[in-house]
Amino acid sequence: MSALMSGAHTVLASGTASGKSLGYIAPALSGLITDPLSRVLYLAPTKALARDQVELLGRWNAALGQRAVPVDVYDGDTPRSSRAAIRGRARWLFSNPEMLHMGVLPNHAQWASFLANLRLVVLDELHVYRGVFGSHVANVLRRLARLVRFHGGGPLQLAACSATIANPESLARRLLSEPTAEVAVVSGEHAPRAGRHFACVTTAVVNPALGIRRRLSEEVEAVAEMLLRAGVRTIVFVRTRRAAEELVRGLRRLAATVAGVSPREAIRAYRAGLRPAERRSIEKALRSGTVRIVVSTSALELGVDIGPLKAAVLAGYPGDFASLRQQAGRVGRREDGALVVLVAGNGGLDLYVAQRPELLMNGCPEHAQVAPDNALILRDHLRCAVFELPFEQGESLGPGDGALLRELVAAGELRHADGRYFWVGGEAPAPRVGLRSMELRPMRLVRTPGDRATRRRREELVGTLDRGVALAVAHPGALYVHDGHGYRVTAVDWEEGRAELRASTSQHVTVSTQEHALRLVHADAHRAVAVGDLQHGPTELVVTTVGYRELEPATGSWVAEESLELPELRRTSAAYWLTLSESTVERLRAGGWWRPDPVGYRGPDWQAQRRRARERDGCRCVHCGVTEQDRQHDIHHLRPFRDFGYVRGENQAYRAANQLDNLVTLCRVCHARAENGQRFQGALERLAYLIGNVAPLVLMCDPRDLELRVWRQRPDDGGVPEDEAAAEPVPPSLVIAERTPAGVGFAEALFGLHEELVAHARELVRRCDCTAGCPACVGPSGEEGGEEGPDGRAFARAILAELGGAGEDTP
Amino acid sequence: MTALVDLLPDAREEPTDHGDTVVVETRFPMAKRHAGVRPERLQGPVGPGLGVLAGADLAVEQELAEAVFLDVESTGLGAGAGTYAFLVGLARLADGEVILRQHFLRAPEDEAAFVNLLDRELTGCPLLVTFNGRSFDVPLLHTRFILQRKSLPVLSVPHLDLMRPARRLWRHHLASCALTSLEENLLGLHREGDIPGREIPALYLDYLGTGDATPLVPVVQHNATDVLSMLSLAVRIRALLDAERPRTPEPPAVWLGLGHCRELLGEPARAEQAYLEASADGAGEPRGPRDEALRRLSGLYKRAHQWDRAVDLWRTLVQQSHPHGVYPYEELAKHLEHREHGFEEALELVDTALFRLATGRLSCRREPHVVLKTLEHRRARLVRRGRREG
Repeated sequence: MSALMSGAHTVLASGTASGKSLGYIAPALSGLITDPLSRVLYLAPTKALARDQVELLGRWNAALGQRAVPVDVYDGDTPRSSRAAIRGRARWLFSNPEMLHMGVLPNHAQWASFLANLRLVVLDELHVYRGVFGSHVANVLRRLARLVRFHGGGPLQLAACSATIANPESLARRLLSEPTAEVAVVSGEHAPRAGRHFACVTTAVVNPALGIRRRLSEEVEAVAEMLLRAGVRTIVFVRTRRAAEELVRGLRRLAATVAGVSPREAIRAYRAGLRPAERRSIEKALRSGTVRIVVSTSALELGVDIGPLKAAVLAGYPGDFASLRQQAGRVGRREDGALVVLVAGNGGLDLYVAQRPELLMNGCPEHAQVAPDNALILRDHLRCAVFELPFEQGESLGPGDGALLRELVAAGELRHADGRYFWVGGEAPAPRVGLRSMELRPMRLVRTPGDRATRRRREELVGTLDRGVALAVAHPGALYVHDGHGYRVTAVDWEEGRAELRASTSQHVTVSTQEHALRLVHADAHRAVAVGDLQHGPTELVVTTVGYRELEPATGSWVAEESLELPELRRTSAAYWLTLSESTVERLRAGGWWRPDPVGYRGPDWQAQRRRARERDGCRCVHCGVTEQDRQHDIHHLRPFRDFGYVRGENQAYRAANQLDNLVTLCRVCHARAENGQRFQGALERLAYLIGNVAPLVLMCDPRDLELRVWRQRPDDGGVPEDEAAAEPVPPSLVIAERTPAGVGFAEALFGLHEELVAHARELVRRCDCTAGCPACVGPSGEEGGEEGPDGRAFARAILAELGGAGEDTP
Repeated sequence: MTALVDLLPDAREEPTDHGDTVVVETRFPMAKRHAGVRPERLQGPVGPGLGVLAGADLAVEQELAEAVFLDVESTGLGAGAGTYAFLVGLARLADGEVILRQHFLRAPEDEAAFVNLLDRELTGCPLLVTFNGRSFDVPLLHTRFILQRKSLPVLSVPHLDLMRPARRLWRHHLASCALTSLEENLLGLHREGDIPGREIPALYLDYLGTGDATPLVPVVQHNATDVLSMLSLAVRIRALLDAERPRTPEPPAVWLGLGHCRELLGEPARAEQAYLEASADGAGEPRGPRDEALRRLSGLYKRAHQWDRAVDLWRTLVQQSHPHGVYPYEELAKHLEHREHGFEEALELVDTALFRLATGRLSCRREPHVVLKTLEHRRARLVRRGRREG
């Protein structure tokens, strides 16, 4: 607080709930009171957080009485009719980066007095501004600083709040584009915090023979039920909106049997896609204490004060320690103790963390990276900046913008005259520059008036969804749950972006089947590397929802399967594409590093044995009991076929492998779950994991900006119809695609930095302290070599040796 | 590469402290009609009708002939900082003439000179007249001035935005109250070879690329027509609002608009007269405006506590067989309940309204479920009171 008062940039970095808000509110208020002209701009990554802070300030203002400072919210929900008044009077403005980017800066003349007197900018949740999003925000701040200078305000002082990250100081400097600025970092836990208990739960094995584990959702529901019955006020973090709604529904059913609890009030879902009024009502109910269990997606991670909760249940490892710590930090804000339960999912990373519970308490914080000078991002903001104010001779928004300006002149968007640059590109560019890679056109879910009595009533908006999500969960026939209410999707107009719902009492759930196809549209560049070919260029990911099935959730068995013909979802991006040559694969295979090795031919008796197994099981899945519909069930080897060591023409091991007592009939879903239990990771998968860890460091981006895929034939173990198996084999590839539509140049950069990438990867394996592979290097160790065999690191070294370059790699 | 000054004989470069800028100046005698109106008729005070309804209460006494009429052509619709005002037409009366000066921005880099000259010319202007200038022209110019570190001189002078009274007067009569529609339908002016407004931004941006101003000549003409039509429109609006009776017979829809204007001006007696004109029977006239006039008239009587007249109107409206609003039912039911204690008749009315709503024979402007709820509520209370007191 004293650092802020002295005028230095300040980052308050600490765990959640240690009074960070207080740290910036008090100095900001005092500044506003002592200088009656000065203005403060507060930016939060979510609207919910900004509104929460305004509410908090309301309590301060109440205490200040006469000297209260007016605060205004200026975001997408602010009514147009009151915007002009806010522009005129705002002293402390609460907004978000998008609103600054699209609403304030392009209309800065109307904000002249605000900008002329702006001194302090508060960035809440600083650590969120990383990767592509952070790079955009850094440029928005450059534009802000430029306009503040024009109107005679500034210099700007930054006050930021951040969760624990490794580099709050350098992140603040990069976001401000002030590489040498002094940044005071105030850290440490100052909040009252009593002991917290951490527990890890893994999913129970329900079918030891098949190695099928209980679903994560079932395990989470069991834990939540325990807490509900014990009367512990709990927050459950789940990964998807759908998981949230399903859990709410299940818990409400259970809550009906608990005395003194109203299921609808006690169990609430808090997630994206809620209407603003709904969201605020839940936040209020949380603070007032009528809610017993709140099920949340990550929306609540962002600092909203939710009152005293005693337990947090994490459905699966959230993917990084900062998120984990934040979710855990939601509880135990008061003096008495709290409980944090991590329910580990069935993935390798989850199990790794579950085996090392000490990581829950003190895992290493991550580095937050930004690259504001990325040419494509900088170019977008250069266009916005020139629109806002002509560029003067010698002015610069970021390094390298001279060439970009010339490029924009050539494209006819800018005019160069008298040494200055002017915008001549027509309408404002900002609305076409998205700061986050979000889909622009949401899908509206509407409840249609059903019967005759309500025919004259208007339809009612239930919620909105991203187009991509809608294809998976709001297709015709889907059961959609919103705030615990069940709906059946009756019709969808994809052109209009509108899905019609009708209330449904069905307790079933629907699960859609999607096919993903990724292709390189064309190669922008191409070169040979040690292991094969390297390319980069625009890619297209086509997601097709081919059908869905309806499940009885209690038993997991399905009651219906329907096929669908829906529009494809096309996502364009750019990718770095490494294809292994046949000879590389052969060498790895010879060394035993190529796992899982697809088993093609299963011996001469396979078709007959397969038929017998199906007949024996009555064409029903032995696990869930469902009967075949229009597609044959799979036949699964209980002990994997490859374990028998069959070599065509050399031995007869197929006989033992294909014995009836080693074969069971499984539906596609259960088959996938059984395969899960014996997942193998070979050299290529290890390399992918390793590159996934290294690439963000090389690119200075966030891991979430990239999407890694290993592309190759599906390891099939029976059941695949002959025609499918005969499909064109895909050459095995490692693909790193950008998540930002059309990309921001990462793919091209990786192509150029390939050797550096390999060198970093090699270095990382060499330096890592782990023994067999961990999330920080090649990924948690699996079962590649069995109990005795080589570990994950060895697999990685094998392929690194193939990749060549400096250094030794001995597996 | 043909500059505007080479294309238009009236265009010339004028010097400022920041370099030259282009102005197209044309003069007309004040007695020469434009769109059926002689500009000299602007003489006389603004008057309460035009002054109040166009949003400048303080300008009522001011001389309308001293006003500056302003219209802007721009490179886009928003007032964002990258949208230029490239043609600003200013008209005023002086020395027995209408002087139209259209300021043209040769290129963005000349904006300092352009804004400087505009600043000089607008300084001292006592009264501003625009069409939709409150939401478009003035904020846009304000931005341009701020970017040149100046403040717009007309920001604090009385500003008559003609779009407001025009809408109030003619929105029941005309499908569109855009300036061109008003010209065509009221002033009898048909533009020949006019450029649609939405094409104008692209023409200017193209000109910046090619340097050829030929395609902008019709834009200059378009802007000139816009400004001059405002003169005629101001005369027409003032005459219509201030006159005891319009000079020409007006259709019911215009009388309806006029009645509304008079109500807003606090002239209930003249409003009543207008509504009566609007609701007078006329063969072949559409029913809509006349019913609306009756409805408004009933409201006027209600506020004046002339209950007999109001009740008569409500009864007339309720008895009409074609579908229209729930308003007379509600009003009549309220009146019966609170003033005459006629619970039974009121209940019957509410039931009729509910039945007609449910069968789609009655429309309502508010949210249907809100209307239904209000009616149900009223019904329950009537039943209760009827039981207790009857």
